[in-house]
Amino acid sequence: MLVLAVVVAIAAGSALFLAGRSRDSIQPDGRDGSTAPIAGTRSATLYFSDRDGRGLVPEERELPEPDDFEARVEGVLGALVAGPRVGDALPVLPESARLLRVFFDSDTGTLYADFDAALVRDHPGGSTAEWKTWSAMVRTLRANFSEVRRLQLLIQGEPIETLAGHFDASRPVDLDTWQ
Amino acid sequence: MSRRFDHGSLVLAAFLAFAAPAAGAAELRLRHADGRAGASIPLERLDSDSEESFARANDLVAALGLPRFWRPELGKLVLKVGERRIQVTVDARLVLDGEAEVLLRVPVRYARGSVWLPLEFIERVLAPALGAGTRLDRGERVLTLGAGRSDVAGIEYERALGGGTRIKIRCVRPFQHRTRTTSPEMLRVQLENARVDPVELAADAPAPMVVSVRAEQGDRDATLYFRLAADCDGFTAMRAEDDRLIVLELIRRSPPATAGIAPARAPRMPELSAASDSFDVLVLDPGHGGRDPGVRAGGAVEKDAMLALAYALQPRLERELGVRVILAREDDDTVPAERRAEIANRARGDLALALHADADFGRQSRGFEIVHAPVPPGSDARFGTARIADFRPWRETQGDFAAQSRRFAEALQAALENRLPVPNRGVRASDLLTLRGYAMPVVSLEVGFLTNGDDVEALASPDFAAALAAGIAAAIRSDFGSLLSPAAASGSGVAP
Repeated sequence: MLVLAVVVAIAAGSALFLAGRSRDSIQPDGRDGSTAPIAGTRSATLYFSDRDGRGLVPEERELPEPDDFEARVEGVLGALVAGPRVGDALPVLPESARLLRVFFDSDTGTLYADFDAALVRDHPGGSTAEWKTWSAMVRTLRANFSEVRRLQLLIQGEPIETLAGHFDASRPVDLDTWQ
Repeated sequence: MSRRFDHGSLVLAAFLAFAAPAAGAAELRLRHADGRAGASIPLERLDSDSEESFARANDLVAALGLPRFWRPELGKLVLKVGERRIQVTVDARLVLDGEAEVLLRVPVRYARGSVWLPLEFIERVLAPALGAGTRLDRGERVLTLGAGRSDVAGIEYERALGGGTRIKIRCVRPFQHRTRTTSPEMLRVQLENARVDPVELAADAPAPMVVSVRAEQGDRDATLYFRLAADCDGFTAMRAEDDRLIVLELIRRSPPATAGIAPARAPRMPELSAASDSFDVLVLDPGHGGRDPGVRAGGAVEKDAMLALAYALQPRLERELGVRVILAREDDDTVPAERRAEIANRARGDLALALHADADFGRQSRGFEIVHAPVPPGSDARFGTARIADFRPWRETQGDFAAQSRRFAEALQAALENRLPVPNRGVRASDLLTLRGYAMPVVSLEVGFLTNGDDVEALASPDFAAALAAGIAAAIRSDFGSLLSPAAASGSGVAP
């Protein structure tokens, strides 16, 4: 009886020890040490201006992944508007610009991105800055949303001729051919 | 009273049950007042408890050529019919037609990413707005388009000598017009201060040698586009009937001569077919202007700086090269990009150079950069300033000259590299608005960044204009030397 009790005690103790080990290996934030992303988010590639102004650099970022497609697009473009977080990259839209909403026409693959007036009013102008604004949006959409084939900018719900006088904004921009 | 369902009623009910899906898959056919068939627009029944059919708004505006504006945050769609604005709201029955209100029996719908408009909207709102006589036949599902106000009464086609085609454009009154061809397939007739009905004038294959006709209404002018068949070898143009009739005669390409006899050909219009054998006109385009200031940074405003620079360059280049230098903008005016290209084309420029100052989101970017239009695949680099009687839509005009533009951009870069006190950012291709429509080589020169202090200081130097003029002149000699006068080509200057 005594031997049996000892065996049971050892078995119970071992079980408790092992359980504790498995609990200890689970990080407080729910990760178990693997590289899986946090549930409900996805990795997105955003493009910003490099420091010396000659091109764009990518930044990978974890963003929430809502069920609604347009909400996902809005989240990614909203992150672009908010600006870079790593390195010494520069933003590609005016700091005051605000994305109002997006609308996706699945028939034509056209994404309508509606901004407030600050995007035009506070844009620095110049063909380089305007090219970066367009290029960053085009590349960011292309990298994250294969469904989107064209981009149409709106300002306060209305189409515009151009953002800063150098590139045509009156028609949807083809993401594959824009340069 | 009890209801009785006899055998006949059952058969009829069964027929209707099978017929209903077919009826739901109907279409709205457009027909012109003269009987010509137009587009067909699919119709759908979106409500199971309603007999009403709906058409997709995008299909309607595309078929009718109407501008439309969509405000997704409000679910509002605005259509413009002439000056009239018609506004609908998703899930609402109320339509705002100008200042009037129309209440529909069923609401406007939004489904599968599109706005859907009930037939009742077309019948009670859109048809009356489109013009006299436009009406919807619900039973036949035909929308007959009435003849709206148009300064072009009609376009007639006749067979011309030599197998060609004669196009007669009848106008209600005389118009100033410009007829130009910028590619072998497109003939463009621009009517000044004219109104046309694009839907009324559109046609496919209306005559031999004419693939299609389309019309476009601008703010002031109207333009007719004739897409031509591959066997068209040019055209002649004339006016008749007190200038109310524009006659274009398309020349059919002759087959290879046989038995040593060359077929007779009508001469081409000389102003469209003559190749330039000399460099006579340089066009400088000071960027922005008027309501468009361009970049405002570094204590400078781009529009003012570029105008001043252009005025500084003009006499220097005229003296250096012995050519006429004209400015696309001579004052603080708002001049649209298309208008600048038109000024250059009408001046029969041999080269155009747009002057701009740049800006970036940071302050480190600096230097000059030269931009040319993308070179279409398969383009040949034509030497010199040959002006070709080609046919091409306005947007694609520069395509024929893009290879030359690229070559001049590279020559200009090389000439400026050791002359300007700002770094060289190189040459790149880009589909800039400011490069469209030019029937000549054209480049855009960004002289430096107003967001960089060193560049601003360099641009403000009194020697900058002289250095830039010397570089431009050197590049023109390098690329167009054989077309300049001997003195200009040698760089020895031209006596005033």
